[in-house]
Amino acid sequence: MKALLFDLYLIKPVLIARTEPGDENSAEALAYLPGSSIRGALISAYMLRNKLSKLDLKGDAQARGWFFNDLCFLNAYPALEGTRALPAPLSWRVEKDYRAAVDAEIWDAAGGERPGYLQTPATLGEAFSAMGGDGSPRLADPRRSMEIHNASWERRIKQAGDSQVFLYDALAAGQTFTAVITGEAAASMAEAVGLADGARFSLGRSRSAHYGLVEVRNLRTVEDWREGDALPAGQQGRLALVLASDALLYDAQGQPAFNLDAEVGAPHSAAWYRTRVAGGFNRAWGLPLPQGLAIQAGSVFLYDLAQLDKHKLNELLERGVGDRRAEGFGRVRALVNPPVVLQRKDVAFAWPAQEQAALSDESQKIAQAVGLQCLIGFLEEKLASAVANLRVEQMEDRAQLSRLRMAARSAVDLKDFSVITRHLGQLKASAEKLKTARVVARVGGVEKRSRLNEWLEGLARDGAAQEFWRQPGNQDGEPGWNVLLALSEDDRAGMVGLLPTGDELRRLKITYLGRLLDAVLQKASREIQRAAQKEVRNGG
Amino acid sequence: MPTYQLKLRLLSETTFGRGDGQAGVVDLEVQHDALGRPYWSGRAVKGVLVNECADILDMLSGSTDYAEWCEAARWLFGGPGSGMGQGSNLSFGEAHLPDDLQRFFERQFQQQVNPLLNDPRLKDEAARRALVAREQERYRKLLLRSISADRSQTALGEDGTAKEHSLRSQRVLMPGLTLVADLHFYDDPQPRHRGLLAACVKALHSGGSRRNRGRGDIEASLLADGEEITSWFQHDFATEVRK
Repeated sequence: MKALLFDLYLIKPVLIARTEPGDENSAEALAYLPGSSIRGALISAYMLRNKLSKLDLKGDAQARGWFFNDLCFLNAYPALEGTRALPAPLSWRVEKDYRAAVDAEIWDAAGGERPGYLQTPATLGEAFSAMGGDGSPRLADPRRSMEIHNASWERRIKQAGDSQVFLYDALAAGQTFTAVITGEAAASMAEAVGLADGARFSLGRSRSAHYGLVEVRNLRTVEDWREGDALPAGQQGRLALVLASDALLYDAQGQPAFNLDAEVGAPHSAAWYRTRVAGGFNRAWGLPLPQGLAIQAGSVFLYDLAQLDKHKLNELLERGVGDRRAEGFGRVRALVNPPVVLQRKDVAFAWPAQEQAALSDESQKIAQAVGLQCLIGFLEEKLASAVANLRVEQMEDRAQLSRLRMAARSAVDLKDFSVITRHLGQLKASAEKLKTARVVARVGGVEKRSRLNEWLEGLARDGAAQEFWRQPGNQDGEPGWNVLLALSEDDRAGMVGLLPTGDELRRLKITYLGRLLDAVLQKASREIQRAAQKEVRNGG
Repeated sequence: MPTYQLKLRLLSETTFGRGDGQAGVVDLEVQHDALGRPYWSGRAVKGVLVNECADILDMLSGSTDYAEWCEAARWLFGGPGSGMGQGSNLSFGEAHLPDDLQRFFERQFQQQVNPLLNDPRLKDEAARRALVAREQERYRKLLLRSISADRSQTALGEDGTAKEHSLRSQRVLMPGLTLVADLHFYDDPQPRHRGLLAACVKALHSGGSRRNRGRGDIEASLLADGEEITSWFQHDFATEVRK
């Protein structure tokens, strides 16, 4: 049959809520885009284009034909590797412990007896399947996004009693679903409503904010389109009729029917099916539709080909079964002699590559601020670790330490570590005390001792040096910038934002060297004070 | 039709959140996506503009064309319910970082992960997906930490000391950050619609949580194809109101 296919790319999350009752403060989206919603969006587009406030079904025969008689608006299902996926047959089973395995063997109960190695058959976790070019099924569920919202009856008031918190579990943005409209007049309807590549529509709830916007892509006409296998020339074998959408069937007494026997004119030999409540919403009335009990999509009914009227079958496959067929209900596909075992394959991992492009001035500033804050975060962690692993020994003169701290702060303010070197050079009598003091650094589990004045001179040299990132080798060297604070290239590669360069890095280096020195000297000064207080308490 | 956007520039620290936090981390978290990029829900964006619109309509309640302004508000923002006549002609997207910056962070993440995906030890697609998920979680935490700060507040009791169990921490976005929300018109807006929308945007000065405690000062403006629209407010609102 002739069909118009198009992809719907979700620009925003889409919420077309399930009918089943649930938490009154939440709405959960269907895992697909119903044909009825797509039809509704196209009707709205038609009315907007023609500046209509309501659709005159009596007077507008063309619109009546398009939207209610001549065309079927099928459900839009997820696109898997470029193919419109379909609800996975409910006759498929996997070994229970391998339910999540993406390369599991699938037993199709409609194909034959259970293989002996399948001990505990379980239903599949995913709702949709698509056959790859290699004949192996790929399975997937659409991604979802959950958002919490709140609404108040009084403006600007958010409090218990006046506000309501609710949860929307919607189809996540960034996904593609493939829709189908069958019928000879599909192309002319598309032209009349503006259904073309790039057109945008809204679907589902909360369309005016945050949800609903979809874009049409890859619109194409297929002359001989079908959803399942073609019927074979011969009359032998099994035929599995799989529902490609929910079906609303009724028996002669008007009660819901749960098989296709009346439609095909023969009894089924086996069935794997479920039922669920089907509803909908009529925006013209502003009311929900009457609900009915439907046979769930994916339900499988097995027949003997020899007992079936092929002409009747072909009609059924083209037209569908049951009520609300124009909205996509009652689609059936045929699987001739389904295989007993299928080897599941994984959907290939891919992501849309982002092209290199220049940032605007404003965005560049933000990216630079982010990069700087990221780098500072890493340096803070290094600094805390370095201070914890450094201590000063054999230094009793707190005044000397205080003067050194002031020199360190001055070096940071002036962005010039040579202030430290000059301070050391100006020391006279107290210089001897510095020569006996030691800095103990714990690096890689090993303690390394060096003279305090030599360590200070080393820091001053580091402050003047250009390198910021850790230099390879020399990890056993003096406990200065490269060993204690410098970040590795691996760290750099994993950072976010635009990292500072040049002078800004040099200023950061001096700041953190100064803070390291200040913190270590302050720690030493407190140790001396604590020791003195302890001595006083002990009566010394 | 041009591409319209609402631009929001943060003038003070701001939390666009949903009222919940992350256990053990912060009591009030900013909304962010899987990569840690902050955003403000489209429903909240529409909500603050509807609030401003209501105030503007209150001010115009004595004017002779009050009914026309109300009709313009209904055209822009719709009414409660899902019926045919209740929909709005304007759809608000979430307010997110500028498009080029969104793509920059996504590209940076891909550049960090792509070399890891070539590791021959990754057996299959499931292993690749697991690696991407782990790296995404790392990137999310790092970006969030780098684009925001934590602030703590405590309530004071009558005696001036901190009330027990009142310490709350809140994540705030840095001032100077810019967010943009896509606006989609389903039909061509008329001058009155444009004017009212521009007035609502001009009146918008705050958003997010703890607005009464110094947070959430914002500067809002309308863009068409990236350029600021200045004429809608002057020509289509101010002139009309002064008539």
